[in-house]
Amino acid sequence: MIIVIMKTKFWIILFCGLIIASLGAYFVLQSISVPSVAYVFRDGECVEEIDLSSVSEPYEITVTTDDGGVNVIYVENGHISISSANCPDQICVRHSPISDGVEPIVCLPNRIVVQIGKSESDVADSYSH
Amino acid sequence: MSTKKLTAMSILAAIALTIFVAEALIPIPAPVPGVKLGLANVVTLIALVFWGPREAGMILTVRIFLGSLFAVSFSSIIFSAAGGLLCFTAMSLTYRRFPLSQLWVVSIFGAVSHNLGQLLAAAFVMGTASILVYTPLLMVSAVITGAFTGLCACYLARYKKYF
Repeated sequence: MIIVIMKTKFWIILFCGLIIASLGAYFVLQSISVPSVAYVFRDGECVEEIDLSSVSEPYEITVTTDDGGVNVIYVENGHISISSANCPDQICVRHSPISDGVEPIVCLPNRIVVQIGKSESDVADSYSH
Repeated sequence: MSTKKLTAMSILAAIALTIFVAEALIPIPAPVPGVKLGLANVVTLIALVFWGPREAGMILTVRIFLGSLFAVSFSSIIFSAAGGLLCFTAMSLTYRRFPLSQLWVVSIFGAVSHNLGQLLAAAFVMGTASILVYTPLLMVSAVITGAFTGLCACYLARYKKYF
């Protein structure tokens, strides 16, 4: 049986260390977990594949369609969204950024879909036509 | 068991229940599920110091069972019981080894085990281990809340001579 008798200062330091270690672990987990890859489809065909977890600085991708449609996609770490587009309804622009594979961002007039999935196969099937 | 002791234990159980239910109504603005103040553990710890594991265990069982009936939903008893059991085990194993002034350390042990127990129960119920990603944040919350409740218990433990 271990008898544990230590000064109070020991325990304070121990638990503060535990807090710091936990916070560190949390931030490490934030960056390595969620291997989310975003796919951009134009007319059902995958034109962009972006690994959202390895994005350090946000950037923009412009996707154009044959009949003049333009969508500007804003890519940042863990999130993707459409920042501007020349479609009449602007639903895609007003959509909040997505970070999981639940909802896609769709621009119907320009036939653009932005979707997050683990691999192209589990995302592409729903959009081929 | 003397009537005096039984009455005292019942009052403590009622206090623990009240704290438990009232605390469940306080919303905590944390992105993590399961962060709570855990104030009812003050009573468990006090009971441990006053009488011992057996009596404290009785009060805890009453609190968990009735608390789940009164507060949220009866199914929350699983998480409450898992956390409470681990918390009780940790505290009853360690409370004797610490002077009364360092009771807050015991409380932190209890709070950490409580959150671990709830996480494990949640992972088991949801069938996925992905919820364990919340462990670091819950550990931070456990240390802070455990220290707070432990300090309360420290002050209350001085009244041991009246029981």
